[in-house]
Amino acid sequence: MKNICLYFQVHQPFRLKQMSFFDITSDVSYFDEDLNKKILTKVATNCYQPANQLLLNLLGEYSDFKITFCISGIMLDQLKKYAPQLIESFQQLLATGSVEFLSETNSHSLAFIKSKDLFTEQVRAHRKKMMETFNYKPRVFRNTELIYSHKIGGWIKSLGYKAMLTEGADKVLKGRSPNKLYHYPEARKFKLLLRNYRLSDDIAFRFSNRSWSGWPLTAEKFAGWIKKMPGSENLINLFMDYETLGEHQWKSTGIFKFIEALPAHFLKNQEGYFVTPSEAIGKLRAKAIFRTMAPISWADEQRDLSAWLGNHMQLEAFDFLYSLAEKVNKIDDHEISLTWDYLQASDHFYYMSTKMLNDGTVHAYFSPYKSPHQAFTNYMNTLTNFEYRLDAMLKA
Amino acid sequence: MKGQMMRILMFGWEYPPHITGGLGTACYWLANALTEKGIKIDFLTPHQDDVKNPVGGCSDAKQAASLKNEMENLGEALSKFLHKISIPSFLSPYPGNPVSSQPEKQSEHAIDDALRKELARFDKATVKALKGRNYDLIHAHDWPTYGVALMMRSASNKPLILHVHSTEIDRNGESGNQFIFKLEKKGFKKADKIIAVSHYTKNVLVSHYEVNPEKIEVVYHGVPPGFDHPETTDNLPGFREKVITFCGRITRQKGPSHFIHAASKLAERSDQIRFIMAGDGDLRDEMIELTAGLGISKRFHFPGFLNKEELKRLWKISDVLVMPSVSEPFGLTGIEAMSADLPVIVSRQSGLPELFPHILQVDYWETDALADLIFDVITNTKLTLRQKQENRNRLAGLSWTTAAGQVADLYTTLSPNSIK
Repeated sequence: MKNICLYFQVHQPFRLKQMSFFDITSDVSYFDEDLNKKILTKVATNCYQPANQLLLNLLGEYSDFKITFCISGIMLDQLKKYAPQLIESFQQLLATGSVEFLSETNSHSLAFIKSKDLFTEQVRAHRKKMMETFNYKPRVFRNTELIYSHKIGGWIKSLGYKAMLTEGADKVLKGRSPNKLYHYPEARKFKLLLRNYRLSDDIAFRFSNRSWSGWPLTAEKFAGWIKKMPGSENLINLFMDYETLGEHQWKSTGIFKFIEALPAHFLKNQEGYFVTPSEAIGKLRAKAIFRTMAPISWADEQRDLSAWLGNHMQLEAFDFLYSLAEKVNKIDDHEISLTWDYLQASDHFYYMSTKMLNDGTVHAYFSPYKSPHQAFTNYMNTLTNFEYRLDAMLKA
Repeated sequence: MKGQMMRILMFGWEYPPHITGGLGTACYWLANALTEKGIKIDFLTPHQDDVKNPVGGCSDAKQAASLKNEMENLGEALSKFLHKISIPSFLSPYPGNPVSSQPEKQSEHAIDDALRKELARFDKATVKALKGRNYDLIHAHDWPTYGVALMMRSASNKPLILHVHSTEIDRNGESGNQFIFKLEKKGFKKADKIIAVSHYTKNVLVSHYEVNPEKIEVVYHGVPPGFDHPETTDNLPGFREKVITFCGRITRQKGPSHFIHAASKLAERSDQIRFIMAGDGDLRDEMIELTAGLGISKRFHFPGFLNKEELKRLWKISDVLVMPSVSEPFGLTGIEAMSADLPVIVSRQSGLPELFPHILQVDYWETDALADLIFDVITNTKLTLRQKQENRNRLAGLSWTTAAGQVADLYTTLSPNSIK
């Protein structure tokens, strides 16, 4: 019996404006409204709207089809600002009863590195936003870009979550299969769902690659691969960016048709099921432990934090950002706390990566900057401005 | 007045390709002052605007736009004696900075090849453009036009002056580009007279290029106008910290890493200091990474290429300009900063101390001493005031008219039959 857990990450950062050096202490806005609106509108047209509609139709047609989403807090802010109709659309998806939403940090941040308090605070902020927007309380957690470590798992467990999603990283699995439910070393009840990166990336990265031996990928072929797996492998976690549907893989690649055909092929003859994470942990037994002290993630070949904190520029920017935490805490101001949320998005650090080759290409694809150095200097100038602003407010 | 007015063919650079822009700025003001003496000049320049993908000089749109703007103003200011001839070309006096968007991927051989090709094309186009024109004398500024200037000299049998603003030795040391070095050396050998922008440069010519010192005349630059009375500008960063500034092409010659290492030492002494490295160049990204690696990037800013208006604002917010050049033939940026009443620290490997004997100096590699000097300047008000006063006194003695007078005298000596 195969269970597919199909999960989509929904996130967009508030990208920064180019801060002129001469504005560095002036009262200027930081975020590029035009660019952010333009990108969100484009992605909504290519992906969010048609994909939501397609999934809604499929959920209506197949009562056994299940979908899982995690929408970051700052993404919810963007949707409310630029595309409120999509909030309603996600509400409709949730109302089908076949959709699960997950928790994460409000800012899609890397705050866990700096302190448990900052991290916990952001988890609570996201939880609050989920309650306000969807009247919904997530039971399962997904950290920024599937980042996980023993320490983070422990924190999340103590916050009352039942399970967490992360990467089926080879260096941790050491030859074991990701296609099973795992559990936390000291707590059998706290479950871990591991991404099958090969099958996930077949859809997310390779779907339109004509030089890939699997091309063209059809739902029938894909379902066939899964059904042929050994009997003990009963949970196939397909985790990817939601933007895979229609944005990373354009409509013309046939991605929507693929998704549309997937339930029929997989549910046929009751050979397979779709599950959400909560259903998976209720249904399946976790027999093995998954343990990693060093943080893992789903990013880059290294599957660690090096996509965000792999060079000195990233580390400097990260330290500068969190050196301001204490000042931010002393100020009770809505604008300041929004800015603080948006500046913490991990994306800003992702743009500063100086990796080359395949990883570099992926970083560049997502970056609004010409170079990682430009991303760095602009972010640092923005933080300088923010520091001056905080100091002025504290003085007043 | 009898006889014919003196006509000069000048190979110049009116596109300051970078923020220091020493060469372009100097050529422009010198040519202008010469025409005021009644000398007619055909001012020929490689013209990057006409090139689809400039590979030298302008490295971004803002820079190109700013230069275009300055050019238009310049055009108006040029007197009727100055005639401009533009030859489309990507030639830049600063090759390798940045010759392409990915300089590290080009081998020196490939650069040489591209350079040779472009020079040959440029030389040919120039000769064609100048067909039928007659001159009393040829005057060329820095290496890219030395080749064509030599060609014109042997074709017309008119005297040639080569004006040296910087050499390959200054830019890249003895391990610099051998093709350029040889072109310079050949030019210096064949030229009738050489103008050096300082005795420092004269020494470089004598010791590295084996030029006969008798052949070299030193002519100092004047003061580029417009920096002494900065308008009250809004929109100035209101830093509460002291501001230490580096301004120039971010390339080996200008010693940016020495500045950063001194900054790192200063940052240990006080957190009330900010550092600015203005300009663009092939080492910019590397320098950004260096500040990050040293953990000082929080107070270190890279505003990029600045136009003249922005430069004035930069001087206004700065407390001191530091020029730790590995080799600085003149240092026009220093003069601009001084006219904006800024104290200046230079390396001993610089021409400026000849004109400003009081100026604060240190060997460029002595970053501890440099850090100490900077600290003195920003903490010792008396010292700063004395420096500024001395700067003003000395600046008053410099002028483009004086420089043009010296050059015009050279013209007359070399071409006695024409009347200026």
